[in-house]
Amino acid sequence: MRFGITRLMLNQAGPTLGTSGRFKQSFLSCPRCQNRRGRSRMRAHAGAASLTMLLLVALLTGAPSLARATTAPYALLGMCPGNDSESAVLGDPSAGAIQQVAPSPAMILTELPAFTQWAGKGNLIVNTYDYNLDTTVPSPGDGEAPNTLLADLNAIWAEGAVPMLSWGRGVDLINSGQLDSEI
Amino acid sequence: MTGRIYFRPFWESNGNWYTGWSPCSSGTTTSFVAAWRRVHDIFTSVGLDNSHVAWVYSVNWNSSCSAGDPVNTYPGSNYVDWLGIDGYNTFTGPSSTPTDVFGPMVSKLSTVDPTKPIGLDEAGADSVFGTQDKNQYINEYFPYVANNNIRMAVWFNENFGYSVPPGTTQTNQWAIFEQEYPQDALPSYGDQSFQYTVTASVPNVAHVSAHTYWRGFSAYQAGVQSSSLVGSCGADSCSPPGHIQSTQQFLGQ
Repeated sequence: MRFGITRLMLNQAGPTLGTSGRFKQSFLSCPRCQNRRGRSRMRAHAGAASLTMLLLVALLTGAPSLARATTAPYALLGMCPGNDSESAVLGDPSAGAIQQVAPSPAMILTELPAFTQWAGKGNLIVNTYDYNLDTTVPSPGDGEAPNTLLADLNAIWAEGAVPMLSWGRGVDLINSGQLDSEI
Repeated sequence: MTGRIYFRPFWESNGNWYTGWSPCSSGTTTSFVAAWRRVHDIFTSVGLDNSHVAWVYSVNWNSSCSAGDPVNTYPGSNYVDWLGIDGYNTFTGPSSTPTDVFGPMVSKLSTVDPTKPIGLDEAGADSVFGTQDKNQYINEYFPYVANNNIRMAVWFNENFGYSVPPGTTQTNQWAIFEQEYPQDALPSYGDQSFQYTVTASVPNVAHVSAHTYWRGFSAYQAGVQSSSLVGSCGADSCSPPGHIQSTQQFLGQ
């Protein structure tokens, strides 16, 4: 999405680098995953049984669509949280600044459960945008300081969803190695 | 067990608006691919393989230039787990269907790397031209997902343009489920009213309010019920909370 200019707030801060490993470590500490494994197996088994039955029926009936039977019959549902005036686009990544559309933890924790109750099914994927990966560096603007990346990820995980982090910085900065420590 | 994340670096690189990474505005195809691979290699060097991080190569529904087109910027199968597309119906031109918006790029990506699953990473339809038109597009969206082997469907639930002067036509109202702010006298779209009530107390999850008021689009609510869509049961409504997602699901396999 190319964000609307009406919400563009420029930030002139230069690139900020750090050596924090907390972002990387966050992947290793999902707070609510332990209960998922058993049910995952149940789903896998049920899916395998259904596929077997479908193939069997197709063979017995001579149905021509065996290829479709091998296609997993699902898509993962997701959403980008937002819809209020707290979101902001900050800075120009080509200049090394941080761009961020910030679904605050409060927004995530408000919107996702409400959506689940309304729709009868929750979002498995939740998009978040463009953080500085160094979580020790405060994010400029929108009242979020320090950087809430880890809080946002934890909020999404807590709602039983998986974050999709959209991130981008200048490719020349990356290729020169200037962002290696942040990444 | 570990936390998982979809990582979508340098999204919409075939457009000309993200000047930091798009070959259509600055840089080159070569520098784009090199940057992608460099970031990927740094992640994998610290053990973040695709059981933790799924790499999503995501482009706009059409390309602003040849240099940024997926046929030129695709980083390679070893560096990507998912293919993705962003596309919107703005209703400003001829009436568009999801097939119009996504079809050509789905075909192209299928040839760029036929081994990877395809998702719709940002989808939306503008509200300001009428609830009926938007519901119609949504009614076409879910069957499109189901019938075209789309493995991920993410709606861009965001409204922009609130800061324009009152009375001005507001565009880019993509949300299908939005909280009402009557005190702000902002327009609320959607053909359904909904009062959300917190139904359960979840440890470490502090909901900000017991009651909030929302509006939604009925077509989206109905479409989500499709058995072809896997969603989360949500922390409030699950016992135990949380959702299953196997590695196979995570990687769209």
